[in-house]
Amino acid sequence: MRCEDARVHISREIDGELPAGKREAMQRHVEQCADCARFAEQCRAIGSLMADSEVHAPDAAYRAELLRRVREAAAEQAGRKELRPRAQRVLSYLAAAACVLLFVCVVIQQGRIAHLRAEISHLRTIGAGPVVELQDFGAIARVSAVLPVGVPEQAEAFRMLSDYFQGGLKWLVQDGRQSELGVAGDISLAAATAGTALRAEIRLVRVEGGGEARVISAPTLTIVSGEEASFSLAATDGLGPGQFRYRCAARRTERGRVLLAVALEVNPPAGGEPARLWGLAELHEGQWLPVAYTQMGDASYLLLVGSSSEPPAGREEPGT
Amino acid sequence: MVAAGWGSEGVDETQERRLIARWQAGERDALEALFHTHCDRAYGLAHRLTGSHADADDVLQDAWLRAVRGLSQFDGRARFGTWFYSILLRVAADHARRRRRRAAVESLTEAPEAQAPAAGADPSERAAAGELKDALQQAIRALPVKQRAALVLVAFEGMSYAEAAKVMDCSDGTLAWRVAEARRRLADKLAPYLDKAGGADHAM
Repeated sequence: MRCEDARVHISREIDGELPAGKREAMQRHVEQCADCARFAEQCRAIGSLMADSEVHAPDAAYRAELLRRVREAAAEQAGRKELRPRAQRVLSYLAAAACVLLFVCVVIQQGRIAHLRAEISHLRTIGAGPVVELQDFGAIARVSAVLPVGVPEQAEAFRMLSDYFQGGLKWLVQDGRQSELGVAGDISLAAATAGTALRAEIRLVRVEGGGEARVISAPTLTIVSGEEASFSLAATDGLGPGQFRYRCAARRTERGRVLLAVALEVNPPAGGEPARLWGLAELHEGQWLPVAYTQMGDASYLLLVGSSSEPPAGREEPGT
Repeated sequence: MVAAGWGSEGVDETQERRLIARWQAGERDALEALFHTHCDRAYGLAHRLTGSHADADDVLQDAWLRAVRGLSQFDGRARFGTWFYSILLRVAADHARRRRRRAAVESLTEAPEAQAPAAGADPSERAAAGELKDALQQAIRALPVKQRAALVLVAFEGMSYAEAAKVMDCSDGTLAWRVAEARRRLADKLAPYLDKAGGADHAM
């Protein structure tokens, strides 16, 4: 009998799940194998420890509180078609005079995207138009939302939007700077200033050994005319290996184009030196340009940048 | 209001099917009866899987939400407990993944100039030195998700292999292997305490 099999038998016996016919062979092995005999002793000692360990039981107050929340969920499930009051309030802000664009990046786990899509579709059907958009990249989705600026309750609206999406919002890109989403202080948005706000989009594509390509990260960067924007943001790939981090810098050239420098570090899953991709691209509206490429293990990473311009609603697009 | 008789001793299968049918038909009290039957055990399981009250609460709430949303499709082939605990295991695994990811992202955004991002939350937290029970808890938390779940179901929750295999949706053989492998890892980690021999290198 191999030790690996003997260990399974020893473990089964501790749980009273070893068929009688196997017991003799296991015991013979244990008598002859010091390692397995030691393993059996250790398991018994661990078993006593576990038997002595604390039993975790909820107190009555917690039980009642959890039941209350479960009841609420059940009631909500039953009354799902009713318009939730919270959604109305969010929409009242969204429908207010909006002249700015706010980009919110969302990282959502697989399995929640369907739920989120249903929520957004629900928002749309009850009014206000396509002010909330969802782009589904597989394991990661991006939500773009429009919020008014200058409304005193905008921080509150922001928090409600965050709550509404159940904390799935991760980053706020504003003025080209990224920050963790929280209750915002001054939300001054890039496009609120004069000029056209240029939106740069970055896509990180992973190509598996078999050729399947998937966008695993798609942050955006808002660049304001006449300003230099730089930010660093972090993202974690929920699907697979490692983590990655971006640094970007953007500048308007003399010809009025935008030059974007992107540097990306990707950490391999098994440790070791991070791979670095970096490149420069001159942004052309509506075009995607490959910036950098690297191989790591049996997957490749391709970095793309693209751009679109987002003039503030209601304003003339000034000449550059 | 708790209906008399629906304690944590459990309800038999027929009563359970009736409760589920009543809930699917929209009777809210039926949900409460199911809740009270499984609350304590589910809490104990969630706590052992996550290691803290706060995390256990998160996991429990999420699991109940999923159960509430999914119960209309529950076909009754498995017992409610088996179905519910398998949801709970999935939620706990998702939760653990999110925690590791959040810890990694937070460490990056806090220190954008850092050389390299954190490699994810270290599963073995700093322990009170020499405390065997703490070491046991940490060693259990350090187990791979499926092995931890298998060990908790069998060794702490006292489930039979047949029951635990249903909850984990795997074969009896796979379950037995996971439990044995979990024990092997615990034995390796706790050997310095158990053997008092010290000094030996134990591979993880």
